[in-house]
This record gives sequence, C-alpha cells and structure tokens, in this order.
Amino acid sequence: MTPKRWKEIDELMQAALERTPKDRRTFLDQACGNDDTLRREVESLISFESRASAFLEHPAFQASSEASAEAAGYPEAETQIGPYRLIREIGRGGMGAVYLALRSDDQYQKRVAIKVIKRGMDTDFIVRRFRQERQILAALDHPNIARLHDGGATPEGLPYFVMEYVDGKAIDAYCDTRSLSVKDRLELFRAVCSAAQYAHQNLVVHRDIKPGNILVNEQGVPKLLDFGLAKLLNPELYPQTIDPTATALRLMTPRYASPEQARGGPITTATDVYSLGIVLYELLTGHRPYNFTSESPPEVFRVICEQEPVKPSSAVSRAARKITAEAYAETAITSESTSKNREGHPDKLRRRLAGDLDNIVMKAISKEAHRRYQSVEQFSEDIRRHLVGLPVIARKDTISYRTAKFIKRHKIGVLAAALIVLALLGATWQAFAAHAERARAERRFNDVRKLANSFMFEIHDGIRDLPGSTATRELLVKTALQYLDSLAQEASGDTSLQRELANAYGKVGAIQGQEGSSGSLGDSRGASESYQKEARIREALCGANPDNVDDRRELAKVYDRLCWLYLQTGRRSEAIPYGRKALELLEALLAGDPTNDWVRYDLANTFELAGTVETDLDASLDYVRKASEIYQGLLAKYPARAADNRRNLSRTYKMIGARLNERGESDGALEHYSRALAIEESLVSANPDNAVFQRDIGVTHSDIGWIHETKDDWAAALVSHRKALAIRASLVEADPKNADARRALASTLANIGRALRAIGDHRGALDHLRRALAIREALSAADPLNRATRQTVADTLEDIGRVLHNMGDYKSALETHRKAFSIREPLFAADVSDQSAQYSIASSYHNIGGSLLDLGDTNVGLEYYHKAATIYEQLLGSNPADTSTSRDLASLLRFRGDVQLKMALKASAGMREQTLREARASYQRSLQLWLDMQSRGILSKAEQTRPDELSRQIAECDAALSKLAVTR
Amino acid sequence: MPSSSETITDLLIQWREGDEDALDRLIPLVYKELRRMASYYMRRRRPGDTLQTSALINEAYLRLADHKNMRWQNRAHFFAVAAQAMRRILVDHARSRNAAKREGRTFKVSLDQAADVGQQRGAELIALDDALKELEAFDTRKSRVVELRYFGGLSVEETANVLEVSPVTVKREWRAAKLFLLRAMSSEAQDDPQTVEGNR
Repeated sequence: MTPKRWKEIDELMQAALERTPKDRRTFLDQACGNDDTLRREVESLISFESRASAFLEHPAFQASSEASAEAAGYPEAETQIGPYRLIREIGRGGMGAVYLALRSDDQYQKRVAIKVIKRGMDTDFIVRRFRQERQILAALDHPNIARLHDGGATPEGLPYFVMEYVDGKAIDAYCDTRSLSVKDRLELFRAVCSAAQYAHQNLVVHRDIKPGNILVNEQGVPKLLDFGLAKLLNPELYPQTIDPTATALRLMTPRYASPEQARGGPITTATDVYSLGIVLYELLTGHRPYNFTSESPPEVFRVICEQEPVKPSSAVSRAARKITAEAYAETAITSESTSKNREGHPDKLRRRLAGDLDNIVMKAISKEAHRRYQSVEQFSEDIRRHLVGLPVIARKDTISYRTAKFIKRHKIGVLAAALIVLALLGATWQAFAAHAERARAERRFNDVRKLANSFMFEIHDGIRDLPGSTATRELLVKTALQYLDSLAQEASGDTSLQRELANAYGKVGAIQGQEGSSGSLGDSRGASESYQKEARIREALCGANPDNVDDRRELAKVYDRLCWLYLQTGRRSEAIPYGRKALELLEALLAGDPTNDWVRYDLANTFELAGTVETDLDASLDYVRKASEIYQGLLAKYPARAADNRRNLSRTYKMIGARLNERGESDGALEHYSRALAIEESLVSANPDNAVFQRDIGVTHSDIGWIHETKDDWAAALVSHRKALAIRASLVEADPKNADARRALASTLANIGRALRAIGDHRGALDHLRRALAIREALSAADPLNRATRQTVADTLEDIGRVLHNMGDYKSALETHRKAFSIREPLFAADVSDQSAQYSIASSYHNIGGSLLDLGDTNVGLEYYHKAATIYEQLLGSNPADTSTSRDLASLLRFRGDVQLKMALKASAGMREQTLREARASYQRSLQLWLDMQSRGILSKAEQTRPDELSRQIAECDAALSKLAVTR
Repeated sequence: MPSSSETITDLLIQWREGDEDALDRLIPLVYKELRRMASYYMRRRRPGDTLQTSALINEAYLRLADHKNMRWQNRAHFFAVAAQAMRRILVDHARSRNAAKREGRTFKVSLDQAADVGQQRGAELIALDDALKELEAFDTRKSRVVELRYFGGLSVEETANVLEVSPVTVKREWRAAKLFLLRAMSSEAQDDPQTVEGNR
C-alpha cells in the first residue's frame, strides 16, 4: 500500500467513524463514488471496531506480568512459628504479610505483630533489607517507635520478624474519627516528630513516612512503624546497607516522596522533614498538596519536582472544587466536612491555618532540601512556638513581594535591564533545549554565555552599591544558580566554560554571603556552597593545567574567600586551613615571578585575612603590617587604581590600630585610625553615592569609639558611636533588607547602650540595647547557621543583664545572663579551640556568679567565679598581652576577695583563717594583674588607684590574720 | 555511571537533531539496561503487583539519563527510545522462545523469570510486531503512537507530548492504528501455521 493510498483510506475511515453506524453507509456511498476497492478497504477496517477498545488496552509489560501472579505462599492462621502462634493476617505491605500473633509460652501471653516474607522472595536483596530493618529497629528504643522484638526463619525457610503490635488507626483516620482540633492534631504530630528526631539522632532516616506508617493507639499514643526503608547515615555503624544508588521512587508512595527521592538524589533527614510536612498538610487540611492527573512516573516526577502546592489555608477553601477533580476520593471532602472535624466553620479553619501554619507547612515541604527546616527538631520546635504564641522561624518567601516593592521605588531602569537579561536567558535556553538546529542552537547558546557573564558581572556590579538593590539581586542569584547548576553538568573538559562557571559561582557566593559588599543577603550556607563549587572547579582546572598562573591565583582567591566566610560565621577552625592554603599558593606564585603585582596584591589581601584569623596579637600585627606595606607600594606604583588601594590601606591602618589598642597602646591606635579616617573622608567626598565608602566611615567611627571605651573615656566613646549611628541608620533606611547594614546598626546601638550604662544612664542603655537585641534576633532567625550572629544575640543579652544588675534588679539580671549562657554553651561546644567562645563562656560565668552573689547565694556564686577565673587564666596563659581578659580577671578577683573577706569575718574561728588566706590570695593575684597593666602604661585614670586599693585590702587581711595568731 | 549517562544525553540530543545513527547507538544502551532491569524487577515481584511498563522505563531513565540536565523534551524523547527498546525486548524474547520450542529445548534466559510472556501472547506479540512493521512502511506516526502507548506504557497526553501533536490527534491515530493492526493480525493468523500451532 502506498502512503498516498493509505492516507485516502485513513481519512475516509476517520470521517466514517465520526458518524453513527447508520449514517456511515450513506456517507461512504457519497465519498467513495465508484472506487469499490477504497470502499471495501474502509469497510473492512471499520468492521474491527467492536474489538478495538479491548485491543492493546493494557501496556505490553504490565499485561504479561499479570499472567504469572501466583499463590502467595503466606502461612495460614494458627501456624506455629517459633514460640508464636499466628492468629490472623492483618495486612500486606511492600515486603510481606503482617500477622497478629501470640507468644504462647506458659509464662505469659503477649500480642505481637509478625511480618513474614513471601515464599520465593528470599532473594539476597530482600533478606538483606530485612536484616537491616531488624538491626536498625532493635537499636531504636523510643515510646513512639514500634519496637522489634525478635526475628528468625520459619521451618519452611521464610524469614519473619516479630514486632510490637500496635492496635491503632492510621493517624489521619484517628484524627478524623475523633474530630481532633487543629491544636490537638499539632500536639499529636509533635509526638511523631519526637520519634523521627530520635531516629535521626541515631543516624536513621525513615524515608517512607506516611499516615499508614503512623498508627495511633487507644491511649492516643502515636507509633511510627516500618523502618524497612531506612538508610543509615553512617554506613560503618552497621555492616549491611542497601545500595545507596537504588532509587527510592519505586519503593515509595508517590504522594509522600520528596523531590530528591523522585530524582534519585541523596536522601537525608531533610527527606523525612518533607514527608512529615506532607503528613501535617493532610492532617490540617484533609487534602493532598498535590494532584496527580495520572500515576505515570513522568507525571509523578513533574508534580513532585515542579508543581507548587497551594497553601494549606487555600486548600481548605478550594475543597469543593477539588472533589470533582479527584475521582478517587472515597468520601466526599468538602470545606464543611473538613472544618467540622477541626475548627467548626470553614472560615475559622482557614483563619486558623493562614499565617504561621501555612508558613510552617510550606517551609517543611520546600522543593529544595536546604530551604526546609534543618531538622525535625526545629520543625517541631516551630510548631511549639506557634502553639504558645511565639514568633516562628518559617516566614513567607517574599521575593516577588520585595521585587514589586522595588519597582515601586522607581529603580525601573536597573530592574528592566536585569529582567531583560533574565528573559533572554530563559528564552534562549529554552530554544537551545527544544529546537533541532544544532548549529543555531550552539550559536545562541554562546550568546547566552556571553549574556550571562554580562548579567553576572556588569549588571550586578552596576547595582551592587546602589542602596535598595538587595531584592533584585536576590532574584538574580536564584535564577543564576539554576542556570549555572544546569550548565555545570556539561562543563567537564571545556576549560573556558569551567572558568566562566567558577567565576560565576564566586560572584553568586559573594552576593549570598557576607563578603563585605554593601548588599549581601546573609545566607552563609548558600555562600559556602557556591564557593565550594567554585573551589572544586578551580582545583580541577589547576590539576589539568598546572602551569597556568591565573588558575592557581584564582584558586588561592577562593580559598581566601572560604577562609573569610568561615571566620565570619564563627567557624575559625574551618577557616584556618583555607587561609594557609591560600598563603602557600600565593607565596609560591610570587617566588616564581616576583614582578607579578597581581599576585602581590592578592597576597596582601590574604595577609590581611591571616592577620584576622590569627589569634596571637604579635603574629597578627606582623601579617597586617606586611599587607599594609604591599598596598602602600602598589598605591605609589599604580595611581589609576588609587581608590581601591587607598581603601585597602585605610583598612590595614584600622587593623593595625585595633591590634595596637589590644596591646594597650591606645595612642598609636588612635593615630592609625585618624589616618584611616582621613583617607575615607576624601573617598566619600569624591563618591558621595557609594554606600561602601560610607559604610567604611561607619566602621571607623565605631572602632574609635571602642578605643575610647577601653580607655574608659565614655563621653568621647559616645560621640564616636553617635557619629556611626547617624551613618548606619541612614544606610539601613536606604536598604532595609540588607543584612550587613542591619548588623552594623545593631552593633552601634549596642555600643551606645554600653556607653550609656557606663555613664549611669541605665534607662537609655536598656532602650538602645533592646533595639539592638531585636535586630540581632531577627538576623539570627533568618540565618540560623550563622554562629557569629547568634553570638551577638548572647552578647546583647549579657549587656542587658549588666544594666539590670546595675539597676539592682539582680533576679532579672540573673535570668538574662542565663539566657545568654544557653546560647553560648552550644557555640562553645562546637569549637572548643575558639578563644573568643572561651572568653564568652567565662564572661557568662562571671556575670551569673555576680548576680548570684548579689542575690546572697554566696556558695554557688563563688563556684561560678571559680569557673570563670580558671578560663580567664587559661586565656591569659596563651595570650599574656590580652588586656580585656586581664581587666576582667583582675576585677573578678577583687570582688571575690571582698566576698571572701566578708565571709571570713562572719565565719567560725576554725574556718576564719583559711577563708582569710583565700581572700588574700584573690587580692594578691588581682594586685599582680593591675601592677602588670600599670607597668605597660595601659591603666585608665579611674584604674590608677587599683593597686593601692588592693594593697590596703591585703593589709587588712594580714592584720586580721595576725590578730588570729595572737588570740591563738 | 557518569560515562554512560553522558553518552545517553549526548546521543539523545544528536538523535533529536536528526542524526538517525545516534538512535542506532542509543538503542543498545537502553536495551541492555532495560533487560537488566526487567529481570531485576521480575525477580522481586510479589503477587498482586502489576508491573507497569512506564515504571520500568522510568527506572531506566533515572539510571541512565542525567535528568537534572535534561528538559522535558529530552525526557519525552527518552521515553520514545525506551518504547522502541521495550518493543525489541519483548518481541525478541517471544521469537526466541518460539524458536526454542520448535527445536524442543527449554530455553532459559533471564527474561524467563522476568517478562514471562505467555506463550499465546508470544505469538500475538510477533504478529503485532509484523503488522506494526507493515504499518510503519506507509504511516510512521501511527506506528509510533502504538509503540509509545503499548510498548512504552505512555498515556495519551504523554504520547502527544513526545510526538508534539495534540491529544485529540493521538486518540484518532491510536484508534485508526488499532483497526489496521487488528485486521492485519487476523489475516496473518489465518495464513500463519505457526500461530495455529501455538494456540493448540
């Protein structure tokens, strides 16, 4: 048959099929004319119509597999398995049948659940999986996890497992039959969370959490069942683990599968957070977050990975429409039935869910694992916070809102440029993916690369210093990362593309992190991920082209950035190796080519960083001075880059000043700062719109204020801090979302608070400190991984506690200091080698002890003082020039001596001598510290009298001691 | 398996852009993987399970193709390739069983435990394959609709997506193709003594 002839037949047949059988004859009479063969062909085809609907209806493979379904081979009821007697089958799951069974010892009768694997299924894979389940379950002991008791093989060789029998209902059915309120559902759900959290702590991820695996018994206790799919996070703990590359989708119930499971990506605790989120969604709304139009894998994949679910509160109101779409709904779900089970009226339920609960659920079920709660614990805690009315961590993703606001602020030109690039990027990429013309696609693809570069480097740089640009840049970052990640897959072997990608990741990382640009977004985890991606690409480049100076230089730079980022986020021990690697690379490069001033410039940058990471004051000064010298040389040599090098130079002056001040050389410090300030003021007057230069001046005033503080010149300190406040407040006003700007403002508010406290204005101090605290708490909530930000929350609490103490409210002071301590303790535990963390802990002990002593709890108070003094001594041992620790320790010991002396005078005669000696020792060490500081010339006016005061106290102790000797 | 996934991606792109040779190189890769997985699946089958073709193909897809790197177009085309591979797997299997039976041997391949294509169905499959080849000769689109729907297990919408036509067109083509195939197979059944033998 020719295609032409067939086309004729086909068209006629189709047309005929559109008609009723009765009309067909007339139609064919007319259409075929006297072409009898044509007519016979069409009629013979149509004659098969009745058989067509059943024909090929089931896909080939599915149809064939049904033929071989055979008897299950499960044991019958009453079968005896070991000491257990099977009562009845209670269900069939993915791996076998589950029975209710009785342990029929003479001793006692215990009901258990027994899971038996089907005959013929004892392949290695299944057996391994069962062994694994047994081991994991046996190790898990939690009231909300169904326990594993026993395991073995039946006489027929079927493996079986004996588990805690849970006589209960699936959690969703349980909640509905009892018409539990939203609050009760949340509390029940938190119990489930505690089980998952416990499992996670034991390195077990469930991976298949769904209502059917959460049974609630008559007592209302939920139990999490079936850890059969669990994968150990730590494979060494148990020898047998399943193939990590086995994709989970086929084992999963698609409704609860996370995007990473659908993709076959890595499964982590975030996967359980997701599934728990879906369960909570269903418990709260009675609806599923996703509608699968078919169960086919591409559809499931698409929905899970791409479709944005509606918010729970909206799901409730859409209920009525949803039933019609869901043909499979067993019982009609209406907004009324849903809400009747929960809060009474649909509107009431909607209001109950809108806001916090919408945000909590949507955060838990984010497509990207890193946007979810970091742990089930955090998820559960946020629910608790909601229940008690505290603000929750989950907040709405407000990019579009912020963008809209941005447009309103008539920065239209900039935005338009950015959006045009984004649109081009999307369209061209689409064209590349969809269209068949290879060469054209390739050309356009190269255009996209160029555009992307200009987008990354020019547009972003153009708007970077523009106040108010954070929202747009955030949108750019998100889009850019999606684009880069897809491009990165194709980059291997293409060095120029790899370099472009590395540059782009670096740029994105800088925007995400806190690299000091005026508009960083404050996402330290995102920044670290991007930098790590950049570093991996650059390491590969250096490996492939070991002689390429630029590649090695860029690698050093990214190490430098990682070092800085980790330092900024309080991860000093992670920062140090990156700083060292960067210095090594650069020094080697410069030794190879001493004329290369680019490398010299980078080296100066890294010296600065080393000076910051280094905790030893002298070594640190040494690094910073090296950096400063290089900048000075470059400034003379390259007048065209003067602004940049002058800024660098002023920064090193400030760093030198800061370190001199720490060594007690405040005059030298102030001198360096005024040199820095002069440079910065000239930069601002030349570039009045540049937020970076303004920010620099803010920092300088703030630092000068700090130097005055250490000299106890609080009036001068206040003047400087207020200058900083004016600048920083205006920067925040211009760009309210900018985390760095807010961080700086909080810091100045806290400084002013401290200064006001020192001059006795307690009310004013509290006011400023509380404003600082509010900003810092918000920053910390937005970036919970950032330890430095959490540290500042604790520091502010400590300052508030001190003010309260000064005001005589010892109880509130104690409470506040304890709060600060509870934040500091985990930070300290995370990096015990971090000296600033040690100092903070000592400071907390010092303050708690002080409050306790003033509350009259002498014994416990002295214990805290003892702990604080021990840490202070250790710190001084490793860094004898550390002035602030010397001061703190000297003051602590003085006060301790006073308390001990008072105790001695009240003590019984027997105890008196020992206590007097203790007091004397405290005074003696304090005196020694003051004398030491005096000899270094770093005592403030008020402090000059300290040695004399202490000598008098020692004399008093001696007098009391000799009186004791006489009476004896 | 980074190397093979890379090849798959490349080959898919090349094929989509009109390089028919790429398909020839692509098919064996997919074929191999599907065979491997078909037996893997079927060994683990339990009663009541209906193994879905598309689930199997999706599995192959997840393993072979670097999905993050591919847009729907690629995925769609993957399914088209996989459907062709599936057709070859099942038909080859049916033919080899038929041959083995005639030679009086028991023929054991991994797919015996796996696909377990019933014997009558085996003959039917061969007939279908022949009829489909006939159809292919003058109406490629209809034969591809059948391949995707029947061997690939795709829905009407998914098929429409792969072929870049409307679902209505797919439905019409599907209906017409089935009529053609039914007629071709029924006439074959009359002529083909082997099938008669197979039905005894």
